[in-house]
Amino acid sequence: MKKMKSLEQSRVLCVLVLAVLFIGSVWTAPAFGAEKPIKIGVVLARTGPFASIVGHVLDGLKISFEQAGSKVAGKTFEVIYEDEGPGDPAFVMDKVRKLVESDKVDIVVGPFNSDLRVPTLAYTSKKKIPSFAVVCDDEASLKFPYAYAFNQTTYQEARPVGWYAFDKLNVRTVNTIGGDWRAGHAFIDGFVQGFTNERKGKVVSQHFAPIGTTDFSSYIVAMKPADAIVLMSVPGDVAAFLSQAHQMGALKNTKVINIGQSVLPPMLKDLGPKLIGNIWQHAEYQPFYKSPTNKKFGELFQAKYGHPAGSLEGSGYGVGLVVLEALRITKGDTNPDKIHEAVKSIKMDTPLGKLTFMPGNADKSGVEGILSRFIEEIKQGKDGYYWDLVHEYPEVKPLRK
Amino acid sequence: MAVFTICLLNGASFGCVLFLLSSGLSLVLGLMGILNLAHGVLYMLGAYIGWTIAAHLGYSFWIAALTAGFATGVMGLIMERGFLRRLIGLPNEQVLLTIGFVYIITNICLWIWGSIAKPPFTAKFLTGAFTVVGWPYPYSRVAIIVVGLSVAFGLWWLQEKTRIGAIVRAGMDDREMTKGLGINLELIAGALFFVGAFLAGFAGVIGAQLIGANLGHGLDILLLALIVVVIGGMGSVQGSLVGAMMIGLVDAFGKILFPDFAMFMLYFLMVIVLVIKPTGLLGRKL
Repeated sequence: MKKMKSLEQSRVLCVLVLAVLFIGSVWTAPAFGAEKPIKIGVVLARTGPFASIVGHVLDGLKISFEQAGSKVAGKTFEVIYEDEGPGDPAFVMDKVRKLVESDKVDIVVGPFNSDLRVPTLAYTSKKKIPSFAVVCDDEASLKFPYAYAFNQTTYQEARPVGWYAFDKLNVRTVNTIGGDWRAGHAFIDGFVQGFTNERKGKVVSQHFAPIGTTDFSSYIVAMKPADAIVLMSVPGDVAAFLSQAHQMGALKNTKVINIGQSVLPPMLKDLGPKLIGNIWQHAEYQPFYKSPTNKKFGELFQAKYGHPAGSLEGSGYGVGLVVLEALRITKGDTNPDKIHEAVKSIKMDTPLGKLTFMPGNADKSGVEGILSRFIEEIKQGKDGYYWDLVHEYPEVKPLRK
Repeated sequence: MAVFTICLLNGASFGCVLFLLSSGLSLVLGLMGILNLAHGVLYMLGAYIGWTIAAHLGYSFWIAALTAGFATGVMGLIMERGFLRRLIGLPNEQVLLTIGFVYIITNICLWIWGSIAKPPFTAKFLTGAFTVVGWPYPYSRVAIIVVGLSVAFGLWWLQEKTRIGAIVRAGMDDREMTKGLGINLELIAGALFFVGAFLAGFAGVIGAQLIGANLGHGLDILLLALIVVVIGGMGSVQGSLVGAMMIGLVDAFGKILFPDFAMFMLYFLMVIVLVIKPTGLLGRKL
């Protein structure tokens, strides 16, 4: 009798515990669900050779997030920033793993360096985490599912520069010198595709110099007579190359076509007098591009930082807009397949021009943007030297075999 | 022939920049046994100070070079008096401490001058070029060679022909015995560290005529300077000059003749020297 009573008491206790747990879960689950923010992990270089470039990208990216007021489709989003470091794949993988496994981010933006981005995509695509490139991406990235290159790839982006050199600058022969890393080769290859295969130009010599090359004089001496030098490297190396080539008279009667947007506006004070009338570069974003969206972005940027936005800032802003637009379309749902479909359906006006996406393969492999490509030239204004928009190639489609 | 001549001159000018940098590193290593990995950032700091004085404020290039050298000399003296003299004979601690200085000084430069590289600058009268075998060749590169060789001669004279030089050599050979003779080796070592750091900053401005000022130079240029010291041997001015010239020339010709192996050639040369003569080509006996 006593045993039965004890059993009955145990049953009642179990029912009570279950009831409490059930009621608790019903009451608390929606509350927690509503509070759980969407997490965006940003991994970009704050140290290392790319830090000087990436600082500009981050300035633009931050504005896009701030403009949204930490809300998208009625849901709160949180941005977690990590440093991609000095160029060590193991270092950046640790950061991306931390973002995915510890911070539980829903989306990754970056890394900037394509040598580092490609290895991280092998991991994020396996984990089904959508990953967005901040500037132009690497061709190899597009093989990975859930990889998004709104600004196209380095290879695709350089093609219109080849068209411009041939069609508008009447350049027929070029020497090329690129940074000896993944993007350096891809940019030069893209230019050569546009200049020689899609036009009838000729490359007379090609050189690749390691990042951090101090003395470029041997490369300059090894160049053959040509209409132009096509240049691609990090800002410090580009400044050294241009100054050394200028000192050695190699820029006399030779045009300079810079790929990679590495002659940054602050460098023009020193380089402008040597290069004015003689250098062109491509831009993912151009502050003088006339559109209401660009005007708004320009005003926001000027108000926050006290100086006009440059190409890299515009690219950073652009990727932020794309991420938020995809989340708006999914109504804040972070399911990777829904985000994938959302990105493919994006049609929006950005400061970089009208943007649509070219779908990748059926296996959800990388998706690339179709948008304007700009060419700019140094001009001298009353406040000094600046990059001016001289040509726009609208809605450039990537070349796919 | 034209390419050969230009490469020869380019290699010599870059070699002279490396000599100015590595001679101080080598002497400090030889006399005090201190491996100062912050030597490269002193070069970088000198380049930034020189840029501020010569390019930004518009003062004389040579005043900029001397001021930058003095500033980095004082910085080096602070490092030696405050920290490094307590770590004689402790190579691990020296490496850790001086790597710490690399980060601190790099971040100070980032804070003051920002992340954008400063392009090369030179004295006004050195901005032109003259023709060598059909190529315009900048005066600034010739000035680098003249300055580099002059400093090499001055250091050689100081080390080989003066009493101070004799003390330095004696200190390198037998530190305890030199001290036992009543010579204030601490004072000499401090002065030598100042000279080494001065040369690093001075080299920063002289080298900025070629490569400007860049936050990455602290480590990039240090690597080359270390190769020079390994090849030339530590504690020897002549060794630093020979090592620097070899590296400058191999770098210049390697980029043209074996572009894919240009960097490899530098290390390959170092390995060969280490195998044949581990103390360096003209280094003092260990």
